Parts: sequence; structure tokens; C-alpha cells
Amino acid sequence: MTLKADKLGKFLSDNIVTVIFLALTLVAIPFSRLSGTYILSNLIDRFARSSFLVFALILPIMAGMGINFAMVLGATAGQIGLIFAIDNNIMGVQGLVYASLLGMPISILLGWFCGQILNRARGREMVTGFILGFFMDGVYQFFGLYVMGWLIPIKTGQVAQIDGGGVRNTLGLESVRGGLDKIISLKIGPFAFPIVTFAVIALLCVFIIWFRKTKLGQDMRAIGQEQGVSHSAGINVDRTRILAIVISTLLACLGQIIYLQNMGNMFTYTSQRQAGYFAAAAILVGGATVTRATIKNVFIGVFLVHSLYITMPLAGKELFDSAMIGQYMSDFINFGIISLALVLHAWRNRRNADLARAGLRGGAALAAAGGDK
Amino acid sequence: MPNETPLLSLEGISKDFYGNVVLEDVTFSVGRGQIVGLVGENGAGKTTLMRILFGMPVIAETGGFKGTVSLDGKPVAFKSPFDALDAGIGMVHQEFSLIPGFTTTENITLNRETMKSNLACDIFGSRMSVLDRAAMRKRASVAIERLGVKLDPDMLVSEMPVGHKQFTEIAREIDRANVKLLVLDEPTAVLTESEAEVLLASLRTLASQGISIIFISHRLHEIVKVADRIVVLRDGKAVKDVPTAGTTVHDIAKWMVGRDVQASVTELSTCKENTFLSVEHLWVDMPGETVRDVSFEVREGEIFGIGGLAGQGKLGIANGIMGLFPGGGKVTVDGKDIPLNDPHGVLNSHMASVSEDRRGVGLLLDETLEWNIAFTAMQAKGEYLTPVLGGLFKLRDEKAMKKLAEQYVKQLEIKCTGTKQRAMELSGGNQQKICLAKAFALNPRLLFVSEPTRGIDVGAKAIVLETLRTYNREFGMTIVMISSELEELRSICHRIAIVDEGKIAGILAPTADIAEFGLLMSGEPDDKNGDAA
Amino acid sequence: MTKRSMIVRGALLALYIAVGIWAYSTGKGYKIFVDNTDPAVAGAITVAIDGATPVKVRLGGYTGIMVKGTGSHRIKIMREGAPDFIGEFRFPPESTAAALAVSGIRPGSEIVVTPVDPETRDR
Repeated sequence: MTLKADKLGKFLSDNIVTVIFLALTLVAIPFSRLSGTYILSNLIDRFARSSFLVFALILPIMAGMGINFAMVLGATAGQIGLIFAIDNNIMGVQGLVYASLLGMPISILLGWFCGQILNRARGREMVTGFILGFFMDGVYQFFGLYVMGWLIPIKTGQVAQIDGGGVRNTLGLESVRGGLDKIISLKIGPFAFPIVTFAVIALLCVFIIWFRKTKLGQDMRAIGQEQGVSHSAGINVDRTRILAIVISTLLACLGQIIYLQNMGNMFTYTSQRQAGYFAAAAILVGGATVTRATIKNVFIGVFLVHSLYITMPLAGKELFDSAMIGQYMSDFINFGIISLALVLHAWRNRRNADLARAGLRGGAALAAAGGDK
Repeated sequence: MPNETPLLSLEGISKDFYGNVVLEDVTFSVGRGQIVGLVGENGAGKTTLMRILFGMPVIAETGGFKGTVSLDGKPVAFKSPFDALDAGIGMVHQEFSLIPGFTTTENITLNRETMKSNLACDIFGSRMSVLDRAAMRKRASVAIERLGVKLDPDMLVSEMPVGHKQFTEIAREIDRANVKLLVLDEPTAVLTESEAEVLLASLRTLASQGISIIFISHRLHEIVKVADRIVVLRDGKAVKDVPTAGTTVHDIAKWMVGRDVQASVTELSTCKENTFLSVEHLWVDMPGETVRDVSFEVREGEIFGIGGLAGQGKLGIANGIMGLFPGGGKVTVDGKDIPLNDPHGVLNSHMASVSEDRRGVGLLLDETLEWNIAFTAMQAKGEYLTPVLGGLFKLRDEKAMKKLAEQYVKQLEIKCTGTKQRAMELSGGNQQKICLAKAFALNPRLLFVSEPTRGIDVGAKAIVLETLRTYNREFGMTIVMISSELEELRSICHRIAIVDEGKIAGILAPTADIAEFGLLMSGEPDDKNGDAA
Repeated sequence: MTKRSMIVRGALLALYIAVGIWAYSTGKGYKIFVDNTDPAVAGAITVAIDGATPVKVRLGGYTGIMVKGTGSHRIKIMREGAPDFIGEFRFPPESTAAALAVSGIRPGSEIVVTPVDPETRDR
């Protein structure tokens, strides 16, 4: 009986973030008064939209670098690719391919740079990555507002700011909208399945599974657990960490392109940031920790976070007569979840240390117990 | 047999760190399939010798070494441990270098995995190869089999008993294609009796397969059981190199601790009969100095020594009682229970401690001597503070602090330019005196001193010890002194407890036979004298 | 680096460039202006090119539609009370915009497309 309770307690404390989120969603659904069909068809669409992005976080977690907040750099690279695709008026899936081909080298470069810095900030990767994201914002704004239009002429009117200086704050992506989703869209009843996008996501899953079996994947798992031991076994720890970040940044670049082609418009100077926050929240809600993440965590997280995003504004409207409150709630929950997960991480570390300590008492604890009688 | 070139020979190895000699003309050799037991106290030079053998960069950085290391009769000079590994020398460390979330197989083949190449390798290099887990498992099984033990190749290291971890480490070394020599540094330190037995048996198995072994251990009976020859290091010299046959644990203990002279016992104060400090089932979680289950009693006015090898937990005892590291158990001083895990409360119980970490914990390096000496008294007891505005603020009483500092500078012969000098600028010995003064300023009835003479010169040592003696004699201060230097303990203490593996191995009088101390440090059950305590 | 891996890497680079060229050449968008000035037709028409969402063009006006690539395109013109017209046209090479006059279209006849300057036509 107590054993059962213990097990339940452990399950709850290990999955507390997921459980809280599930509970919130279950409460929000009836209040939103949305039909199951509506929620489900929205979920399918959003799942195709954002799961790729979240996958970008798996490898750095595996390599012990925590949540790669610097994936924002990759998303930025993807946006730069898209800006050029729109400006050159490349349409449809070709536009997305074109954006990817441009974005990938940029993201690899940024990822390498980021990896170098994170190697110098060992043990504080997450906060460093976070700040790097802000730093990149500045560089990107300089590029978008100044370099574009001055060094690199903007060809298309709808890309340029009204007054001509740099790239617009909001960029319409009509020409590439659904470029991937609509290649094959399978309609089953009220639901539309973007088959090609799903195929790309499936391919990525296969890649991650395969990657874990490679030597590099094995090395990442090793350094994720014990850098010292890995180093003395001859694994090039620094290089492996850089590669983890480079791959993550590259995936973030592609993920952001997939995300934006589904959205159909892009907030040139803020979308990348949203991508970072969303991905971090999603993978944590899915039950990942700062030290362990699986494909399963990505899927659960994307579904749960989006369920809440869909229902929360309407539930807010229903409850407080203001959709904005729901919107605020979503943001609040987003960041709250990230904070909660980080606090839980610290708490778990302490709990594990306590458990290990309990083992030390050995005879003392037993003797004390015996002595009482 | 005598004509055969030994696998490894060390000739005339000397090494000093900036004039401080740690190894002097060490010569011995290891034959093929031979097990050599290497024993010595902490600081005898075992670690440095192994660093030289493995070509650790620290040796070259500190000026290299004298003498030659030959493998298979050819002189070798390894530039890094990886060279040594390539040459067929494997090292099994004292602390496990295993990846906890990996299986036995993954750990044994760590960074030497069997791989299958694929197209991605042509693009991104060989690290994109997929691991051939079946082949890895086979290799692991072979290595485990050679050890002659039973290990599950698919078990996670984090779920293993410690014994299995040790075997996994050894299996990893013998999985190397060309392994000829294994160095095992305290491989049995964390093992239970029965696990150690199995380990020794498998070492013999390995030796019979032609692998040579250097076995470093402080458990002397294991050395006697498993080694073919025994080399004893003391103060950087190989004082003995004898075949095991005919050697007893008692002999080795004597050689190891050495200085077969009676300790110069000065007249000790007579302590009272009543128990002043009593410790029951104390455990302390101090990293590297874990205390598992310690019980002892100290009489009022006694100087109680605690010795033992480094890492066995002797430092943890003082730190635990003073509340600096988490711990549990029951500690009573003068009949009153002492709250554990409460550094502030402890200082109010007429107790003080001098930390072994002088520069880190002991001193405020950037502050004046006055500050340093009065600091703890000020913080713990609110002394040397004058209330201002009816107690709204408290200001430091600079005058009283200066007077206090001057008193101790004189008493302890602290060499300084004045009481305003910063603690950082003093020599190690004088810094230690400041630490003592700081503790004395609390007027404690019970004082813990940890490694009071570590890293200070002979003259300062004598003054520090004499000071402790004086305070004990004249003020009746009860002192618990923790030190790695047995001679020092024997010269000052009424009784000496030896700590081994987080427990008190035994308590001896300072006049006891030196070999008995050696045996206790080696975790040997003292069969002759029974319960020495 | 082995010879084999050099070849594979070279091939990968070539593929990268080839895909880039393919994406650029087949994905580049061009504007086609559909004029509805047919005197024979009284009323709005609805035009769909390459199966995209149909666009309404009022009588006497024109509308710009983006098409992908310079190759041949299918156009479908619908109007009330008349059968749908389906035809093909090629985009004039080396121009970024062109005009297509519905007035000239008769079943079976070739569709005439004339290059125009997109900037002047836009306003």
C-alpha cells in the first residue's frame, strides 16, 4: 500500500510539470466551449507547425548543456533565409528550399560561434545561451534595418520599410505560405493532414534515433554525464559540445522556416525569440528535464502546450470576459513553466544528494534506531 | 628467469617540486606476469611515481624528473597518459572513472567502440559511424571473462554495487588490445571484504595470463596475499624491495611508518576523569572525507589525537561537529547536547575550531590581523562591539581589538609588521598562528585543530605545538587534534584514535608500538592486542 | 581524407548548388496582369492560374496574379452563363511581369502575353 503510494509520489514528482499542465488544459477545455473537432484539427495544424523546432533542443540536453536557449540564433538564420526568398520572389516549396539553403550555412556559422562561447562558460550554458540570444537580436537588427537596403539592396516593395530603411517589422509570407504543408494535404473528415510536413518530422525522428546510435551520439551522451571521465577516455569534449550546438542551431533554422511557412507571416524582429521560448516551454512540459529529453517529450509537450494555447484565450474570455487575459495567461504559463522546470532541476539535484547521503549513514542510522529500543 | 628483461624497470627515479624532494633514487622493476605491491603512507611519493610512469603533463611542467623508465628493456618517455595507454600500460583509478548512465559494455568500450562505417562518414568523418553493439558486447564479455568474474554486460553502472564498478574499470583496461601492465591505485578501498577477495583472485588470474600488475593499497594483508614482491616507499625512497614470501603484515607496517624510534613524549598534563566530549554514531557528508559511523569520548583536559590516511574521514569529524558539513548523530559537550548543522550555535557552546583550510576558511586574507583575530568572537558572541544610540547600531571597538591582537602577537610570537598588517602578507606558519589566536579569542573549553602544522616550517611547527600544549596545561583546554603526521600526534596527545574508512579503527596510547598504528591505518583487524580502545 | 570521401563531399556540394539553382529557377515568381476589357463580355470574370484560388476581375479592370516559374501555365477563366475556358500560355522569357488580355481569347486560339513593366503597371 505504502509502496504504491511511494511509486505514485515518485511519478508525480518526476512528472510534475506535465501533470500541472495537463490539469490546466483539462480545466480550460470546458470553459473555452470549443468543440473537440475544432481543437483536434487545430492541434494537427499546430503540431506540423512547431514540432520540428522543439526537436532542436534534444541534442544539447543529451550533451549535458541544458536547454539551448541560443537556438534563437538558428531561428534568426532561418528568417534571414526567408527574407531573401521573399525579396527574390521565390515561391512555394522552392522558396522554402532556397531559404533553407541560405539559412543553413549562416546557422552553422552562428552555431559554431555559440559553441565556442558556451565552452568558455561551462556550467552556465543556459544563462549564457539566453544572453547570447539577446546579443544576436542586436546583430540581427543591425543587419535587418541597416545592412539590408544599404549594402544589400531590397528589390521588392513589400519587404522594405515604408520609409525605405531596412526590412519591414511584419513580413507577409503569402508566396511561400503552406509551401510544405499544401504539397499533399490529406483530408479525412474535418481534419486536414499536411502529409509532407509530417514526413519531414518523421524523417527528423528517424535521424535523431539513428544519431543516438552513432559514435558522435554516444560521445554526446557520455560528455552529458561525465565530462571528466569522457575527457580522460580521449573524447574531444569541447569539439563534441560545439557539434551538439551546431546541429541544434541548424535544426532550429529549418524548424523556424517550417514554422513560418505555416504561419504565413513573420514578425521580422521578434519571431525568433518566440520560437526559443516556445520550444523550451514545450520540451519541459513534455516531461523533459534539463538533463534528459526524448522524442516522446517533444510530442507530448507540443500537444499539451498547444492545447492550452488554443483553449486559454477563449476560456479567458468566458471567465473574465477578456480574451487578452487568456493571452496573458498563456505567456505567464509559458515562462512560469520554464522557471518551474529550472527550480525543479535544482531541487531534484539536492534531493538526489540527500538520498546519496542517506546511504552514508550506514551503520550509524541502524545503530541509532536499535539504540532507541 | 633472472636473465629475462623485466617488463618495466624504473631506475634511479628522482623528482623534486621546486627543491622539495618527493622522490629520491627509486629503483625497482616489474617482471612479466608479476604482481608488485607498492605501499607507503600519504606523501611517500606513490602518486608522483605513478605520474612519472604515465607521463602526466604536470611532471614536465614542474621541471621533469631524473632517472629512466624502461618498458621491455627500452627506455621510454611518455608525453601524455595517452602515450602510456598506447604502449600498453593501463591505470585503474581510485575514484571510478565510469559513466553512470552507461552499461557495463558501453563503459568497457568507452571511446574504443566497435563501429560500422556508412555514407555519412564520408561526409562528416568517422564519428558518424554507427556503433556495432553486438560486437561491443562480445568484446566486453571477453574482457569480463578474462577477469574471471560475473558481470552483466547490460547493467547500468549507476545500478551496480561498487565491486562491479571496480571490475568494470579493470575490464576496460584489459579490453585494450596490447595491455601489458596494469596499475591499480587502491582498488579495494571501497570494496567490502568479500568483493575484495574476488578482486584479488581475478588479479591473480590476470597475472597468470601474463599481465603485470602494480598494486597500490594500504590494506597490507591484501598486499601480502596477492603480491609477488613488495616495494615500500617512505619519504620518497624505496626503503624495501622484498619478495612477499616470508614477509608479514607487521613487518610492512613497520617499514611503512618507519622511524623505529619511540616518540619523544613530553610530560603530559593530567586530565580529569570526567568525559567532556562524547560523540556517538556521527556521520558527516564531507566530500572526500566522509565520516560513516564514529563514536569516541574525550576526557576533560585531554589532548585527543585523530590520525589516519587522507580521505578516510578524519577531517570530516571536526567539520561535522562544527556544523560546516551536513551530518547526524549525537554529540555531547560537558553533558549538553550540541546541535549539528548549526555553525553559529556550536560557537556558543564553548567550542572553537581551527580549519585545515587555512587560506580558504580560516582567514580573511584581505583584512588586518586585528580583524582576523577578533572576527569570530565578534560574529559569534558579539564581543568587541560597542552599542551606539541605545543599541540601535553596534560599532567595532577598535581599541579592544587592537589590544587583543597585540596580546596574541606577543604570546604566539607572530612575526608581523604590526597588528594592522593584512593576513595575506604573512608566512604560512604565522597565518596558522593567527588562526589559533582567532580560536583562542573565543575562550573555548574545547578546541578542534585540523592539520595545524600542514605546510609550515619546522620552527613554526614547534611553536604551534607548544602553544597547544601550553593552553592545555595552563587553561585546562580540551583539545581534539587531527593530523596526518603520526609523529606529531604521538608527541603531544594523551590518546590517539586512528580513522579508517569513516570509522574509528582503534584508539592507542602514544607510546604504543609504531607497527600497531600502521596496522590500524591499513584497516587491519589487530589480532594480537584485541580491542585496543 | 580518403579519395572516396572527397568524391562524396564534392558530390554533396554539387547537389547543394544544383538544388539551389533548381529552387531559384523553378520557384521564381512572376506577375501576370489579367485584363478584363473584352467588349464581347459584359461582366466580371473569375480567373484561376495553376489551380490557385480563383480571383475575380471586374469589367474594365485588371488584376495581378503571381505565378511560379517561366514555364507553361494553365489558366481557367470562368464567367456566369458561359462555359469555363481552359487554356495554356507561356510566360515571355526575360521579363518579370506580363499582361494577358482576356479580350483576345477565343477557344482554340493562342493566348497572347505581352511583357510589361511591373512598377508602372502596379500603381
